[in-house]
Amino acid sequence: MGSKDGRHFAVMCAATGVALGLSAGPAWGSGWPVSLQPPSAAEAHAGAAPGAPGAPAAACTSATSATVKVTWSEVADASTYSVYEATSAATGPYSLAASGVVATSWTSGALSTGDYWFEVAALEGSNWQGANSTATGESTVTNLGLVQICAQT
Amino acid sequence: MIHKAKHGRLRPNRWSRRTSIVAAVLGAALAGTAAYATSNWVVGLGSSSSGEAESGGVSNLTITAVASPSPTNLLYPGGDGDVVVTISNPNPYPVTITAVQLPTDTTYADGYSDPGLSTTETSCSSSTPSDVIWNFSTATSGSSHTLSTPLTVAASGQAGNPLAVTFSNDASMTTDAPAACEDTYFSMPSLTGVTAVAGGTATASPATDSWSS
Repeated sequence: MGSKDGRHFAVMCAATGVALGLSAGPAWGSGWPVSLQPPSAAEAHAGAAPGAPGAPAAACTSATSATVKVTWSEVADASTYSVYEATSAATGPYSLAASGVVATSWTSGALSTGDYWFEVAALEGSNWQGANSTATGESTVTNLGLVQICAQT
Repeated sequence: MIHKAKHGRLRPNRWSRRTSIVAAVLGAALAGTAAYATSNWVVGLGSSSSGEAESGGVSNLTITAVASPSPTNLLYPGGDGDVVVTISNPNPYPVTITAVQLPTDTTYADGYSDPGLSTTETSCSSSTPSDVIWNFSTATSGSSHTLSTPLTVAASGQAGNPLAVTFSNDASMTTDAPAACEDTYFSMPSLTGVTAVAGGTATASPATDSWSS
C-alpha cells in the first residue's frame, strides 16, 4: 500500500475511532431532570419515657416551720418534674402537689398538722411521664397556732 | 480513474477499491454504534410511574423506609431525630439529588410499635396527631430544602444502588406529643418531590446527610 493510500486509511480509521468514542462518551442523559415516584416513605424512632429519679430526700426547712423541702437527683432528658404527696402512709395514695418543676428541688407551702411522704416523677414534654420515685422519709408537722414544729424521720 | 494494467486488462484504481472497503467497514461500524446507542438510550418507565416522569426514557427515583442503620438521634418531645431511607435509581446512569420538597408542617407521621412499620400505634397516628413532622417543613406544601451534600445514587445494578441514607435530625417532635408515642417507630409523611438530575459520581452507601433550613 502506498503512502497516499496509507494516509487515507489512517484518516478513515481515525474518523471511525472518533465516531465510536462519541457514541460511548459521557453519561447518558447527563443533566436531565429526574423526579420522585410517589409516595415515598422514611422511618424515625422515638425514645422512651424518662426513668424515675433516684430516691428523693425530704427535710423540714426548720424545726419551727411547717414547710418541707424535697430534693432529688437529675434525670437525663427530663424537661420538668412533678411532686406527689401522701398523708396516710408511705405506700400512698399519692396526689399531685406540684407540677412543672424545673429545678431538682421543691419546697412546700405551709403544711397542716399531719404526716407527709413525697414521691417525684420526671417528664419529657407535656405528656411523657416516667415512673414515680420511691417515697421520702416521713415528715411530721405539728401546728400549735403560733408555733409550728416539723420533725423528719 | 481506471488504469490500463500490465497485461492490458482494465481494473479499478487500487485506492478506490481500498477506499470502498474502508468506507463499508466504517459505515457498518457507525451503524452498529448508532443502533447500540439507540437501544440503550430509550429506557422504559416503571409500570407504576406517574405523570411526573420525563419524556424520552427517564425513570423516577423511589424512596423507601428502612430501620437500618438505626438512627443515632431518637425523637423526644420538643426535640429532633434522625430519619432513615433507601433511595433506588432504576436508570442506567447515576442520578444526583440536591434538594427535597416537604409536605406541610401539619402533615404528621404515623406511629408503629415495630421497626417494620407493620403494627399501628392507634393513639399515635397522623390523625391523633403524633406531633411528628419533617423538620423545617412550613405551612406551604412542597417547600424545597437543599441538602448539605448532594447525594448521587449509582446507576441501576451498580454498587451504591439502593443508597441507604440517614438524614440527621430531620424529623421533629413537639412538646405535646402523646404518651402513646413513647418508644414508637414512625413512618414519615411522603415527600412531595426531589430536585435531581442525571449524572454525578456515586455516593458510598450508607451515607449521612441533612437539610438544616
